[in-house]
Amino acid sequence: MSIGSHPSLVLLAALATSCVFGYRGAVPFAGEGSLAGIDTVVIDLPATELELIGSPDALDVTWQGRFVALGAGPKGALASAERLDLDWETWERIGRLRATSPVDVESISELEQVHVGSASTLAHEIAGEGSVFVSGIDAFLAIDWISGSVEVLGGLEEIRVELGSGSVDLRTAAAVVVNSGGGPVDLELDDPRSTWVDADGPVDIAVASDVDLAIDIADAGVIVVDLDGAAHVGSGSFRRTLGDGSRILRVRAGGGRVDLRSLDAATDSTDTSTDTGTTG
Amino acid sequence: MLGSLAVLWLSLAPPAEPAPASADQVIDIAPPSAPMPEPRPALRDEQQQQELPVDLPVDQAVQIAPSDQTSQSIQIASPDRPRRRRPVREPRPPRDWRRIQAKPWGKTDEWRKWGAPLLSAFVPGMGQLANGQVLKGIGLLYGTLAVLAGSIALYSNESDGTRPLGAEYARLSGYGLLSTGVPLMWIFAIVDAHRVAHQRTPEPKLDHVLRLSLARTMVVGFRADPDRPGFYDEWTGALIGQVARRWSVGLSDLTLKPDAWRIGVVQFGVRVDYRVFDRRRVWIDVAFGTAMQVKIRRGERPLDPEAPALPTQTKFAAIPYGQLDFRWFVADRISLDLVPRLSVPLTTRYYSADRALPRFAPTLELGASASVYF
Repeated sequence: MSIGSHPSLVLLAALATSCVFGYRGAVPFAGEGSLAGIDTVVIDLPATELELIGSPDALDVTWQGRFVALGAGPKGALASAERLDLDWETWERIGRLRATSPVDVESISELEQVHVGSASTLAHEIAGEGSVFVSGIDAFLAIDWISGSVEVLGGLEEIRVELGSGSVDLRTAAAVVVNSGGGPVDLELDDPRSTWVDADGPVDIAVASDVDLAIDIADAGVIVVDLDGAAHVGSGSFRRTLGDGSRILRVRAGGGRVDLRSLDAATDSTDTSTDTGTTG
Repeated sequence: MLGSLAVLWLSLAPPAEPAPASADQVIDIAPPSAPMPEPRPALRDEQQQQELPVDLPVDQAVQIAPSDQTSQSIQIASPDRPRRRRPVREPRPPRDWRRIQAKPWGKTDEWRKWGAPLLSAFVPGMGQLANGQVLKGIGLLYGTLAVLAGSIALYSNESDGTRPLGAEYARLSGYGLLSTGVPLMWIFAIVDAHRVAHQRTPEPKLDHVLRLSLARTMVVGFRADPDRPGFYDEWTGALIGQVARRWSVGLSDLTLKPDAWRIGVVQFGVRVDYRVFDRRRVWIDVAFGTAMQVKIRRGERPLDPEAPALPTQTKFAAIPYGQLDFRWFVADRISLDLVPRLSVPLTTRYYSADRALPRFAPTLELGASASVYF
């Protein structure tokens, strides 16, 4: 049997042996920094599973999590993971938490998960990728997320979400601005005083009250409105002013379905005022 | 781009030559049906005006003595007989060419020599259809489209971390194979259309001086995220010169891996190559080389906007490897290659899309390349 007459065998044999040998090493980490004099906390992390919990009486920002790194052997993998850490840096009234990694370890490591505890009264700006869960931050909250899932519980002031692609799930009493490149957007608004949604996918909004709503829905597929003061089924766009129209609710769905409904007793079970969660 | 390069190369190729006849293409010419009359020996007078037939013994010495000269001994040779001529071996057109000539619009074929590869450069398989190879043309057209669609589908079907690991390995391996197969099939369609239109059988250039290769190597393996395997690949170029019979050496693994964010990698290397097998259109090379990488990470800016940025960091990497090159020549100077490679990086090795594998991790990669020989 000549080699040239059976190239498929050569291909299969080569494919079957296409692989890499190595180990993973995981190392936990923890740290804290002072929030004295800080007004804004910036969290700038690589792709990870981030959990941020706000507490009204927190004086420090705390973090704990786990780094994972690759190595040819178990010792090498652990040694690489131990070279990774988070760094708390302050300047005037701003504090920033970010990952530090040597250049030769950066691309073979991952911040597997990180739990951050902070003060609920401080503004927070978060940037990263993966999944982020925020609870108990009453002040301004901005999330600039490349892709993944964004989930926020609580908030009183304002929540701004910029998401490349993924899902957004907010349950809040804050004013809301959401720009999503793709994926579903679910909002439960206790106080829909100002709501701006620009999405490319289905949008589901439940409001605690439709008083004085100025509804402006466009660029949508199916539209279903089921409020105490208004009901509508259609597609494309829907505009209606309830009361004096002082509370704007503007939705652009990129052809996605839009549901606008009232929070009924069965679904209104989340306390969104100050859900501080756990900091353990 | 590969298609354009192939068309450019083919347009610069030397003009076509008739295909050599092979043993199974001989046409036997029948011998003459009526035998020629046997000529007899004759004598002429001095003025060459009169011819006298004589009966002389053939192949024996006879004495001829004109009246005024000394007699001479001459040999009467047997007259020339009409020899049975050996059958004339006329080249028989290859099967593809006969099929072309069978087409009603195939009488004037000059345009095909450039038109067929050009058509396949725009749409794979069209050149084959122009050459009259209907089944091959349709197969290449739909095959290339199917492979392209499959690679796009596999690429876009990303895992959210919940897909079984085996399925994800299969997806990434399939994507790597299909996305590499698209340019290879395209190049084959162009070169094959050229070959058939010129009635050529590839004769690999054993005495080439320089080889240019564009290769893609890939491996699907683990990454720090345990729920998702990593797809490690890179496109590289090589300029390999043949310095002695079967021996080649040159620059290899040439590529840039820019990253607009923080990281950029400049890669280059050297490779020594020995051809262990060359029969007809298949060559096998054994090669050893070292790829070298310089990784550059721009320094980050501190939180203080007035403070200077941190200094740029650079890291040097070396990746020695050995590989086999299975070369299949689709034209005299063009081959499509399958290249399995074993490497052990001495430092962290960087691939495209900011992926990397740790040092000392043995890596078996699968590569495919297209090579042009000068």
